[in-house]
Amino acid sequence: MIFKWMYTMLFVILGWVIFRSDSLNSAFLYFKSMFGLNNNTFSDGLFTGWFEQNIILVITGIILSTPLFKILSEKTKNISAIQIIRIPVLVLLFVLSTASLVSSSYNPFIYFNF
Amino acid sequence: MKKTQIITGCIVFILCFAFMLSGVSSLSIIRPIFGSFKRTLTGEYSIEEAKQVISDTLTGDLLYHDLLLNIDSIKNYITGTKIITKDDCTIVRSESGKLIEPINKLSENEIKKGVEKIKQLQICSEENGAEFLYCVAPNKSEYEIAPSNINNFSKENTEMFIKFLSDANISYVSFSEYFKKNKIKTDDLYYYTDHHWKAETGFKITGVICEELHRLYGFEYNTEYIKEENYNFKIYPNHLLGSYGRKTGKYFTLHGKDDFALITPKFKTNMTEEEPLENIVRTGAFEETVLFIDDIENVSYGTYSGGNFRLQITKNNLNTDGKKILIIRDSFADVVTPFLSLQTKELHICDERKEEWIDDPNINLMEYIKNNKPDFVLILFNGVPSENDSRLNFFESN
Repeated sequence: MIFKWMYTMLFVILGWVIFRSDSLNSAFLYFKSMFGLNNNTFSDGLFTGWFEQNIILVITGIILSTPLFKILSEKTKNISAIQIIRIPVLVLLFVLSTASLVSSSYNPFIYFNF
Repeated sequence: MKKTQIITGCIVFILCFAFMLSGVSSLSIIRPIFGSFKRTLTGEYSIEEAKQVISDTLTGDLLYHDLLLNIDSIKNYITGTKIITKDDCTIVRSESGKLIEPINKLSENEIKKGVEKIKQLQICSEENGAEFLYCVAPNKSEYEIAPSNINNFSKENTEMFIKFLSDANISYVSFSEYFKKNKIKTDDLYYYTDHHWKAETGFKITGVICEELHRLYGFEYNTEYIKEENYNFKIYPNHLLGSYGRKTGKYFTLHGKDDFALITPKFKTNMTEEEPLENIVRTGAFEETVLFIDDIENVSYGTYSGGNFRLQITKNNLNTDGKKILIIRDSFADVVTPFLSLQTKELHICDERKEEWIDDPNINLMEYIKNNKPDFVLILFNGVPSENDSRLNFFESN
């Protein structure tokens, strides 16, 4: 099961590279970099900087990708207090998303490029 | 779907809708949006123009725009974000917590071409009997450590620029060299949330300029006028949200707003401030002429010098035997020229930048120097002016 998931994701990610590249040549160079064949190191200042600045989002994304929240949701669906807490949490997430949009003054949506 | 889930969903929807509606319900938003719809239907606006108007209105005039910006800045700080990219700039939080803008590497040729223009102005000045001095004001990012994923070439550009100034025999004073030589701590020279140096720094720099002019050309100046004890320093704590802070939100750097100092002389002054292109003349004390104070509680960086003018002339009516200086500047000179004006008979302040907030045509400095015969010509720019930098429009007149 895990193996199926892994090779699916591998081809999805490789497909995204082609999707975003300006040309086949630049896609090929990107593939080489992904597998360390472009005289690039595993990590450098550029990687460390971006990773450090996004570590919290990465960890949050990992946690949310697991069935943990689904399990918690199932176990707490009959607890009224949890249902009540969900309201301000969801509204807060909405406010944070709006804040992010307003702050960036720009709402990129790549499919508009087509 | 269970009843509680439906009710929760409805409540969340209503709250979110009410939140959105409350932000856009003012007429300052509704009118432009409906106006742009109407103009698109009549063909006056293209769809892209209409989209831009709606986007600008929604983000700029949203009722709680600043609150959302500050909320986003807290979120960015908590999640460890250090880089905010905008349409016109990238703002980075440095290791010390200050907000900076990384500088791209300039080529040797770009810098050399810029130096050539400066050299032309030096030649023109000297041909008209004026001594020349270029003042190298360091960019804030020279003193800050950016995150490892950001390239900042501020220091390298400045070093190359100074080398070319020296090669071209252009007299210059480098304030970063001065700070280093005099072991001046650089961590308190600039605002946290703005790209400018502090008013206190501008005050110190004025003294450095006077000392250098004296050393090179025997410029006589009043040493009492560069001493801090002869001035009042009124500090406004937690007062100034600078240019970078306004783009990123108040809490992107936990420092919050900067303290701001209003510096005024304790001694008697009598000055005249002229804006010849606007036909404005103001006469009075220092605070009434070279400072622009509408409301003593709402002072800002622009209080010094009044912001940016194509041409401004200040006259010290108590120094009629003094010298006439022409200074070509950018906004870093805002907090220098008021104090420099005390050391001169006349200070002619010229800003040649092509920016939307300076309407007036450029001044051809060759003609200006010929007609006004200054004793000294100074340039004070921050960072490195490269070939196409509009600050170097010395000889255009349009």
